[in-house]
Amino acid sequence: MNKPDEKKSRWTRFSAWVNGKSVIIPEEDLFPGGDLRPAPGKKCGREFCRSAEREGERLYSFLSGYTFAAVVVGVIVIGILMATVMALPRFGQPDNPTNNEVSQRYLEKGEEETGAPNAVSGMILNYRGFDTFGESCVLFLAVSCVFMLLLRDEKNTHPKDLAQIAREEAADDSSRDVILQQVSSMIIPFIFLFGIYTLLNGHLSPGGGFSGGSMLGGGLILYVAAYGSRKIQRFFNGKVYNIARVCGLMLYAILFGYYIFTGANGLPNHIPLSIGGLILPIDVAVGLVVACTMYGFYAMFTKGEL
Amino acid sequence: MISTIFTVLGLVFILAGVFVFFTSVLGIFRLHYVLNRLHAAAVGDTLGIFCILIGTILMRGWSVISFKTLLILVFMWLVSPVASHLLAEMEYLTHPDIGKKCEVERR
Repeated sequence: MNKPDEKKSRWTRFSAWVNGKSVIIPEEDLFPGGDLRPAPGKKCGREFCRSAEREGERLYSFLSGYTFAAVVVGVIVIGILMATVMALPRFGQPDNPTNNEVSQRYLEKGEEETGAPNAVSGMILNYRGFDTFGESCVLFLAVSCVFMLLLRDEKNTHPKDLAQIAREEAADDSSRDVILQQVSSMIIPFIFLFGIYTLLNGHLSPGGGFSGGSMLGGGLILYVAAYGSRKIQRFFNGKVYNIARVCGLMLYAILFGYYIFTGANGLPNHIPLSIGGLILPIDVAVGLVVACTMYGFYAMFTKGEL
Repeated sequence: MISTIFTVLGLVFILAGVFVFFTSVLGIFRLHYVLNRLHAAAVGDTLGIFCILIGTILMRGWSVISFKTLLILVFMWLVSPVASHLLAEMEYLTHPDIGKKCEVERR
């Protein structure tokens, strides 16, 4: 880095001063692959050094612009929220919007309009389906971000580390806990059975997509903990995982979009209300997303691959 | 007459379960080493939950809810000792000098 100070603007110098150093990009960030970096003993070629330097400056200027944009966006969002708070009604008034007729209608007409005897299910999956769709998207995005940060495969990990992981896995496979395996073989089928029962019965009894999906995810986690990830890859590898995750969210989006576009009471004409109408397939979709999220978190944080 | 007997029996069982849970909580707070505390907690998870669930079944009479309670009991008895076993095994594997704390059988 030959005299980078002259090229810096005032803002970048100020942010570097705030950060406590003048050059903030360490070498590891420039070469995440590890293969591109020259060996420590070898002197790097001039071309390579120059391109790396240029890359570092580009990244640095991008980062400083990023900070500025983040501050601007944050101030705008805070201003909007403050203005909204000003427009809220006073606390505790009897004619506030929270005390209107909507909640009463949910309870009185919920069963005949949504087809779900369980009022909570009818509320969260039918009247407020967009809200639940947002929650599913949050789960999907969360597990995607964890994948970005923690996934280890041959594209972003050094071969040495991969070999080390494989050795540890083999050592774990040779010394699995027998007690855990025996008990798991007894209770895992019942966990899956109860999870599916809760999933499919969400419109009739307490339960639904979120609780049933978490039971399914817990069963998957127990299976991996007892038998190792090589066993589960026979029926649940990364490809199946991604297909299930994406299909769950897509199923929800398509069904609920169809429901909204046909006037929000169209689908019960095709799926009779006596079996729950729209609630049952949406429950299944939410359950898929939740189960994949739980299992994905476990797999990423323990091993870094599916 | 019979229902009175069952109610009294159930009360006795529930009181015994409360006593077991009391000793278990006392042990968790009183003991200091991991394995001792694990032992105290496991007593509450097996004997205490057995006494309380049997007591509720006796007081409630034979119905679907009692059957579900029995299923809960079976599940807890299957799962809780395994969880304790795994915790103890983890302590055995990761504690650097466990030989000083207790007598270990080398595998």
